[in-house]
Amino acid sequence: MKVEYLKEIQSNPEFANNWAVTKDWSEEARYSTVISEAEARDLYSAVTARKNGVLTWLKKWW
Amino acid sequence: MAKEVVVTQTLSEDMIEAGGRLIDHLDRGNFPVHAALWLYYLEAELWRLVIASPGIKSHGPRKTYMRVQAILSQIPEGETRVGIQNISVVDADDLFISILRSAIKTGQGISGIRFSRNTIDGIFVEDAYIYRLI
Repeated sequence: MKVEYLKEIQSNPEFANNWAVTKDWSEEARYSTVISEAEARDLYSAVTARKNGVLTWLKKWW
Repeated sequence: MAKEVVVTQTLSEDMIEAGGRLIDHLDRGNFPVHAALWLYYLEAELWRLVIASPGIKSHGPRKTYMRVQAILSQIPEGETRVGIQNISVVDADDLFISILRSAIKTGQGISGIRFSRNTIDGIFVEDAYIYRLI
């Protein structure tokens, strides 16, 4: 899966961008009170975007 | 396309060089870099190139990552570059960066300060390589 992930990152800039945004989230961030609306919206969209979203890509491996 | 540097458990000369190269390209592309450092995340056991730039809180990180990606794509073939998956952009006023800045400051250029196993304001830094903190 790591090989496929690296291939996707290198060949699909939109997915790479969504991954970049998503990877900065951590479990601790759930309790953050300083996240801005713009940051929250970007994270939500990076995860859920139908095309090139992180969740869409991950579902290929379920 | 430029080859991506392999991000290893130990900070390598190749990583340091590729990080410096990216900051140089960001500067030349008029991308405001207020802080830049390789930071070791102890729990995740990985290194990330952290870049602090103003406006991320208000605009969100997406636009900034897109801009960084565009600049990365300009790095010529034959030179290694840091992959976007190994970069974290944060706001210039990020709390951790502000705390680090209270202890260390550099000039506008590209420095090379190793900062290992230190605690600042109760925050433990396992390892970092600081290019810029202004």
